[in-house]
Amino acid sequence: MQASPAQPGRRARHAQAGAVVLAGLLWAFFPIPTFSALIWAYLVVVLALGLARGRGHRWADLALPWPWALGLGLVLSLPAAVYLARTGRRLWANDQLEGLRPVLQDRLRLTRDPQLHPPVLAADRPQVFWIRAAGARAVSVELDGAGFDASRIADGVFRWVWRPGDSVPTSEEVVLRVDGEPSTRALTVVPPRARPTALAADPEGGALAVSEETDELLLIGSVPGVVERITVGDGPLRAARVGDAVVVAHRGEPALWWVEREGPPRRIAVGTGQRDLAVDGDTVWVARTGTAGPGLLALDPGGRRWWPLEAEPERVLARDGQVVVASRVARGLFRVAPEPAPRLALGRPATALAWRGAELVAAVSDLRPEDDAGPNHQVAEQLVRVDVARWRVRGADATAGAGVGQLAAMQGDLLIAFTGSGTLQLAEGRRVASPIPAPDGLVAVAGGRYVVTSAATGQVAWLDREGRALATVALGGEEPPEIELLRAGERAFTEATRSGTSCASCHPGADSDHALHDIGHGVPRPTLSVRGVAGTAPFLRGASYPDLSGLDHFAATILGGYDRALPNRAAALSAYVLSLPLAENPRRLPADVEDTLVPGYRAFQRAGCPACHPPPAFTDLAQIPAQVLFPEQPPGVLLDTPSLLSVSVTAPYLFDGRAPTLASVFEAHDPGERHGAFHRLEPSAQADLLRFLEAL
Amino acid sequence: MSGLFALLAGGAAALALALTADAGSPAATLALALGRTGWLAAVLLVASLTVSLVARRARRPLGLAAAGAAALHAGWSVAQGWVTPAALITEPQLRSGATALAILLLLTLTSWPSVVASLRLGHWRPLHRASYAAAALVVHHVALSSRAPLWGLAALAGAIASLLAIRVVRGVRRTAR
Ligand code: HEC
Ligand code: HEC
Repeated sequence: MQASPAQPGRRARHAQAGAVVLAGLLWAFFPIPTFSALIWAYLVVVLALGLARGRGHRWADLALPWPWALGLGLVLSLPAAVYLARTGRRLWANDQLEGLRPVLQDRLRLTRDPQLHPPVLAADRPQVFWIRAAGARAVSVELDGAGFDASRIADGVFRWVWRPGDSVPTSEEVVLRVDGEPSTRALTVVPPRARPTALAADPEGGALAVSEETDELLLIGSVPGVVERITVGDGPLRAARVGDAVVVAHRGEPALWWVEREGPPRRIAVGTGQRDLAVDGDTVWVARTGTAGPGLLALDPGGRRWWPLEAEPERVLARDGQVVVASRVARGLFRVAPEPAPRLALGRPATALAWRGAELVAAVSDLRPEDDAGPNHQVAEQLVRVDVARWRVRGADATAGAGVGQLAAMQGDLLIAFTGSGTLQLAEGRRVASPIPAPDGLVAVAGGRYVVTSAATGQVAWLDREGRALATVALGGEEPPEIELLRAGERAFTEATRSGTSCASCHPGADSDHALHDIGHGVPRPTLSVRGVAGTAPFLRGASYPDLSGLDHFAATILGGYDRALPNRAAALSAYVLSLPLAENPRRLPADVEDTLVPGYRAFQRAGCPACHPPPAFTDLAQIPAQVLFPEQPPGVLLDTPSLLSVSVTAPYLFDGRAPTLASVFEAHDPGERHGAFHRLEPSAQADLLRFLEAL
Repeated sequence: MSGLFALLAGGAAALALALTADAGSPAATLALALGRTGWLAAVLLVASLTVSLVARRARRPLGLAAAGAAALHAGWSVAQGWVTPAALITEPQLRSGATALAILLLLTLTSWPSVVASLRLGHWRPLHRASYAAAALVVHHVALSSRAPLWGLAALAGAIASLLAIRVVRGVRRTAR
């Protein structure tokens, strides 16, 4: 491979060094710095010199004496060096080396055996972890010294359900004991933090709210600075007054709690899957989801009634015999009483609702009454007035701030907490800056005062009639820096950019608005939930974001940037998103779910799904061309394999939302029968497989 | 003639690996097949570089077979819709792969003395050192490939780094002499 006999080695090496210097020089004038361009330049130089030499031009030997060669080389390589120093970082980015580390890290994590997923434990709620341990017969998990058995779903595939106990785990590691052999794996524990939500006026004069993660009912006094905190069941969602008592609905608890002034609370079993609660007279309405399907439960002194609903409910509102349910998935409203009425399409989910006079007002990120879920990335928020009696949209008004967090009515006036812009609209249209950032609750209390809450910052504040701050209470007290970072991230997530849009505009509750947006692909795509994405880099369907800090860049450029400078915004945003547990899937927790999972996994395996959706994350973090799955797609479009965890609550499916249900992913939208071998399964196995996906 | 045979043999071996792939479902099988053709090309390239350190004669057929396998790999990826012409320039992974393939094909041409003669190419040996550049680009290409197993990536990068180190040490020694 060295110089031929006709060409002394030393001379050849001169020529080589000379060619490299010349190539560097050529490269320095190349507009886009990449390593490939350097190599192309080298090839061009070598070929040019070779051709010149072949035609008898002796200079093409570059056979200069050493000192000459060295001097000339140094002079000539100077521009290339300057160029490299200037564009070094861009070079790194252009060749995608910047994003390589996070992506390889996540892949390496999932390659290790045994491994569990997700890598985050939100300590406030029950969670399911999948464990892959090749060849294992039994797996147990140790966290903070406590041991738990994982249940076996298939060969080498296990499942561990963690339920919050009396204390919050402090360890950042779990030990997976595979047939007795211990392996330590990282697990980020996110401790519960006080987040006041569901603020409502209390007929007794103050206000009611809950703190879902710390399991507290908050009785907020009309007197500034007074908050009574009462421990309730797991995951309180909303509290409302019924007579002398306060009734609380829970996410994790199968009962409503009746909290009385005296004595222990009473529990009334209504089952798990509670979503929201409303009180009208002495009737308590509970919106529910679960294995029996979504529905509404009415409890009154006369007994119980049940109304099935067409879609998962998020909110229920009841007043004077009118009952309305809002559904994020359905992007609209349903009337249950006085007469059930079909869906009233809003185009986007309602983020806040309030009765005002004879109408219901709904804040919608972008009203599309024709039920067009179609593209836009700038969000134009509106307050939609709904005539509940005639079940139609009366009209819509623009808002004076951004990111409506909560609506409340006060004698015909709307009170609005603008989470995005940090402003409040008080009675008579008076607008003030909120004394606490990211306000998402605002009600009037006795004495002409107002109470404001912020889930992101964990604060409660009192304002006087003019909107002057009277007092502020931080429910979390002094908090460690990790929690402060998450709070900063949550605040950044809800903060509006100059265009009025925030992350939360499209990701209400850090989930999906179940609508389509064009966020720079040129093609509208259904919004993904941002929950449970830890450990699954790269992100988005095109795998275009190796790490989440890139999303801050999206906000800073496409969305118009922020007014408030924040030095660690990208880091905070990313820490917050990575701390979020998976979207709640009510079908994954019941004790008998394993009867579904065992035959379901068998079908999943027989259909070849683990080739791309392997446990424990149910994604291989890899991409395939859209054309492979959908022949009509143009070449060059890559699709990232999504994780299938909690997939049943993230409809619509596939990159452009073409599949409304899980079954339709295979039945209607797999034209070449290429997406796994679903069609080779017999019908009963297909049904097992679909039930498995729903329980994941 | 034997050169052409090596080139075609590389391509045919890659095709055989692709056609016998089975990952349990059509989409996964297509992806597996693509990976197999790529790995064959990479392994042949490493083999040709390794052999060139000891037995120069065997280098040429191995290098040509690598070029054949790489050409089939590229063709397969186009057929499946992984690649558009624009992406060959804009996508770092494809750009590296395409550049590496271009180098191998160029070397293929210059391995026929008649071609070199008819082009009246003076020095073309420096071109052959570009095979190390091709190898480095292949590592980049594999590192950015989402399906390549990480142990494969590590083995490939390790092998190519060692080959490069040996080559550089030898070169320095010879210059010093
Ligand atoms: C205009 C609507 C919109 C806004 C504003 C928006 N997103 Fe998204 N987001 C989407 C859509 C649509 C997708 C799915 C894109 C795709 O299919 O590639 C998405 C996907 C994501 C994902 C990927 C989840 C996954 O599983 O890979 C994350 C994370 C995310 N968004 C976070 C954010 C953050 C953080 C912000 C604020 C800086 C933000 N989004 C602002 C619409 C939006
Ligand atoms: C070749 C790899 C591959 C195989 C095999 C595969 N999938 Fe997928 N799957 C994907 C990709 C890629 C997507 C994303 C498609 C898109 O975005 O349109 C996907 C999407 C899905 C979705 C929709 C998720 C969503 O959020 O949109 C479901 C459900 C799903 N797969 C289930 C399965 C099941 C069940 C099997 C086995 C029958 C299977 N997949 C086999 C690669 C694969």
